[in-house]
Formats: sequence, C-alpha cells, structure tokens
Amino acid sequence: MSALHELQSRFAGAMGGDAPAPALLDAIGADGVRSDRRLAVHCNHHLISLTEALGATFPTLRALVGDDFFAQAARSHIAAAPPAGPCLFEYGEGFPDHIASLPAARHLPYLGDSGRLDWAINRAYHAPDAPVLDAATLAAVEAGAAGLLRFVAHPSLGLMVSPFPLPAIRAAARPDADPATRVSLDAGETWLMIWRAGDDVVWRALSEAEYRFAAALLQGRSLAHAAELAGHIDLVAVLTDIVLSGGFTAAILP
Amino acid sequence: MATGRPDRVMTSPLGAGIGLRAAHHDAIVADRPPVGWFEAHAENYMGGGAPRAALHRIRRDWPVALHGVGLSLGSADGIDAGHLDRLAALAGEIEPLFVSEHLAWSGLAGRYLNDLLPLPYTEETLAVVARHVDQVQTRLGRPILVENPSCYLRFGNSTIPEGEFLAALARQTGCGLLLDVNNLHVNAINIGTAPAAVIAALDPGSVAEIHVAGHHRADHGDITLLIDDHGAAVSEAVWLLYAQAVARFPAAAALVEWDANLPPLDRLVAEAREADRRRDRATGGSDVRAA
Amino acid sequence: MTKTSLALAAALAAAVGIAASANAAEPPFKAEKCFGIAKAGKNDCQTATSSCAGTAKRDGQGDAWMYVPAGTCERINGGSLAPKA
Repeated sequence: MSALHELQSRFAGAMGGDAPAPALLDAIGADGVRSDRRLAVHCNHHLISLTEALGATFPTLRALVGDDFFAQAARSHIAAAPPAGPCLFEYGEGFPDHIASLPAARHLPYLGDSGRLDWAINRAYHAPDAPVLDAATLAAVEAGAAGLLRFVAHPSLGLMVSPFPLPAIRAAARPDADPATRVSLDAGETWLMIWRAGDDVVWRALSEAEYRFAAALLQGRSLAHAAELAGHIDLVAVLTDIVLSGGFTAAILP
Repeated sequence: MATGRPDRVMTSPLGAGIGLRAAHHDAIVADRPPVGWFEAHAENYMGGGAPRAALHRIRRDWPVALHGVGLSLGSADGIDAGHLDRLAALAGEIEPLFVSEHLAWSGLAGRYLNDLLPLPYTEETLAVVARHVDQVQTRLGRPILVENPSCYLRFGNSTIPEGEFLAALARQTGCGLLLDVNNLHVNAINIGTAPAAVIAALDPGSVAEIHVAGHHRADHGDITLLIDDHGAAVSEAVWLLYAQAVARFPAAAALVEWDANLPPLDRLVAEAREADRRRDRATGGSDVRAA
Repeated sequence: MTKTSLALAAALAAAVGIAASANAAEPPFKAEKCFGIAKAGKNDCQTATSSCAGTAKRDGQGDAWMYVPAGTCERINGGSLAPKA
C-alpha cells in the first residue's frame, strides 16, 4: 500500500467512527491546534451532512420519530452503510430497514414502510428521464392485437404494498398537518403505484386486484395475461390514469 | 454564445456568475437575473426529472459550468469510472462553460465520505492527481479546472507548497485552475498558507475562474478556525484577495458561491454585481460585460 | 377474435380515448408538488457546516438506544411513545 493510500485508509477509518490512529494524528501538522480537533471538523461534517441528506430523503420518517432520534438512527446507519457513490439523492435505500430494526422503534411497526414510501417518492423524483407513451401511439394498435400489448414502464414507476395506511400516515407527518390529526392503523392495507408525472411525483391508490394487474404489466406480461391475473377490475380506469400521466414509456407488439 | 475561454481577451467577457441552487431554479427562470453565468454542482443534476429539466432550461439562456464535488481526484485507489461516465454524459448534454473539480479526495474503497478532504502535497500525491486529471480530461475530451481547497489541517510530510503544487499540476496535465480566494483566506488563518505566495506561484494564463464566498469564524477557547461554509456575505479580507486575483488573472471569470443559510436570489445577484464593481476598480477597466 | 380480446380492445380504446381528451393538468390521484427539502440539491461543496466545526468532541455523541422516537408518531394510533411490553 502506498503512503498516500495508507494515510487515506486511516483517515477514512476515523471518519467511519474509529478512534483516530496515532499515526494519523502524528501525520497532521500541529500548528497550535490539536490534531484531533482539526480532524473533528471533517468527522462532524461527514456525519452531519449525510444526516441532512437522509433527512431530506426521508421527511416522513424524520417527522414521525423527531429530529433527535432521527439523527441517532442516521448516525448508526452512516457508520454501517456509508454512501457508495457521490450522488446523495441515491443514498439511503437501506435506511428504512435500519431504523425499523432499532430496539427503541420496535413498537412503531409502520416506520419501515413509511420510510419505504419516502424512498419510493425520492426514487421517482430523481429517476432517469425517458420518453412518455402518448395516447395517439396506442390508438394505432389494431383492436385484435390489443391483448398482445406489453408495456414498458417509465423508470420512475414503482409499486408498493403495505399492511399500513401509508398515505394517511404520510399526510399526518407533514409539517402543515393539523396537530389534532389522528390516524388509525386499523384503516388497513395500502397498495400504491408511484411515478413521476411531469416534474411532480404522483401516486395512485390501487385495489388489490388493480395491484396484481399493474404488477403483471410491470413484469412485462401482456395486457391479456395481466387482465386475466387481475380478475374483474375496471381496466379502463387504471390504464387511463397511467397513460394520462406518463407512467409508460412504450407499448410493444410482438 | 462563447463556451470556453476566448484566446485574445484581456478581461473576462462575462459578468460575474452565481452558484446554481435548486431553491432558486424557479426564480431564475421567472426573473432572468442580470448575472453572467451559472455554476451547477454536477452531482445534483445526474438524475432526471425536475432538476435536470431546470438545468437545461437555464442553459438555454446562460452559459453554465459544471462544478464536480465527488470525483475525488486525490483518491489513492483511483477514481470511479462509472461516476466519470455520468459526468461525461451530463457534460455532453450541457456543453458547459467549464468543468471543474477540487484538489481533494472524498472516498476510498467504494466508500464515499461526502467531504472534500485534504491531501499531503508530495511528489506521490502530485503523480496520483495528475494521472486522474489526465484520465478525466481524456474521457471528457476537454481540459478541466482544478480548485484550490479549503483546509482545516495540513500534513507534516507535505514537501511542495500549495501554489507550486497547483502550478505543477497545470503544467503536467494542461488543466486550468479555479482559484477560490475565500479558500486562500481560510487557509491563511487555519494552516498558515500565505495567499500572496499561492497567487504568485500560478501562471497568469492558467487561472480561468475565480470563486468568492463567505465563511464563518468558529472560536472554541483554544481553537479558532475559519469554516468554509459558503454561508455569509463575502468578507472584506476576501474581497481584497479577489482584487489581487483579478489583477493578476484578468481573463478569469468570477463566481459567487452561497450554500449554507441560502438567501433569496436577489442577494446573490447583488453579490455578483459587487464582484463586477470590484473587478473594474482593481483592473482600471469598465468593460461592458454580458449580463 | 375471442370475447376476451374484444373486451381488452374495447378497454384499451376507451382508455386511449379518455387519455387523449383529458386535461392532464389535474391528475385524478394524489400528486406531491412539494415534499419538503427533498427537492433541494443534496451535494454541496461547502466543507463544513456551522453547527459542527471546531468542536473537539464528535458532534451529538450518544447511542441510538438512549433516544426515543418523539415526533408525530403520537398521531398514529398504535404508535404510542412508550414501548409496548
């Protein structure tokens, strides 16, 4: 290992929470201020800036647990799973699992899924751009071939299922929510489709059957196959909503 | 619209620019502020959707530079080729005025630390950074600018003064330099680097851009550090360094950075106009610049 | 043409018809135009924030289990602040 590599390795270790190696402190010129204090500027920035990034990605989680608990949960996540790359809008996919696993949060069973919805929204907001399928293209499909159509989902489109009423929980956690708001976990399960329409993230609540239909389409099954898996649902309503707001990139005939 | 530094001008043809921040996207499009150009942090625009669309929209009306904060030119174990590809793709779309990065490192072994970390100034480091600058310039098909860092510590084994290090890097790789005069001031207080020595060491033709920004003073008993948080107005001490810099590097384009405590757009525009006034005073010129 | 494919063709045609004529400005479902500061760029080149720099101690030392969730979770029925036995 080169001298530079060795130094950076020790430095990265200190930023990851290890006690600074004596060799690292010795390598830092004293200049009247203790080396560990100088190093602390970077260690603190590392933790605080990444905590802020997680806070921006997970506004619902942060509101639900409060800033202090959120910061501690972020700290342990950053130490265990630092970002793999520099684009911070891509950081935090594992955080909902992490916060849900903390002993002090075990009595809040909806935390993990609330965080997963934050993540799904963040992901949709930043997903790569792609063409949007317009209705005119679909109109040209021959009636007899409609069942063979396979749809290509926009990169922002995702599905989510949860035993908890996530949209209501999310709404109650918003800064502009009425503090008197109360959400009952008995309100039931959630099936959601989340994607980007224009610049905005949108979601549509689905029935369980609609969810099966959408999931089959996202898996690349034909329209006929997806409809068969879904059973009796209003295909017009689901297809209209997705096509209308740019959820598909293309429709392909074999 | 000119992209890149013209060959035969004595002073920058561009009015001072401002750092592009997402909170200002809408106001910029609506108000068309009188600034010369914008500089975007490349990593914030590597996804799709609203941020990318805003960048394209703003690029239609102004020159836009891409200022990378995550390439980690100083990492001993190499730079992330995938990230470089994303930068190249963005640069291909935006046709930026400049592509710049920092003389710093930000990660190792697949861990990104989200900070611009200091480097020891040694022959070994110079070789590492020069190799990475070459790699980036080859991939992008254009020269980049490398910025002098703000530092809170220095390494005892450094053998090359900062100015000489930057000058050698520019000579070896053909890269340009981005001189941040706030960083010069911060380093003077924090680690005793003389700003005048850095300015004097740089080839006048190598500096294509100058940054100004605010900092704050952190006093904690026996420790006083200037913190480069880009969170305040430019201090008078930094404006004085700016005047020296524009006198020595008249062709360089100026840019105001503001990150922490981000004020409304007008405040940044006012700071950019101040940079133009200060430049005219320092260079004795009163060129009409694009605004 | 089977009955199923006829039904699908009709559904598709209806969906396309509605989509082509509808006003896309108001989607019929929940749209988030703003979800806090997630819209702000997260990458800065500032190298330290005001709240942390210069302190000898690492900021906010403490362990996660010393803290308890204390936010809007109290609005969620079943999300009481006290851990359930």
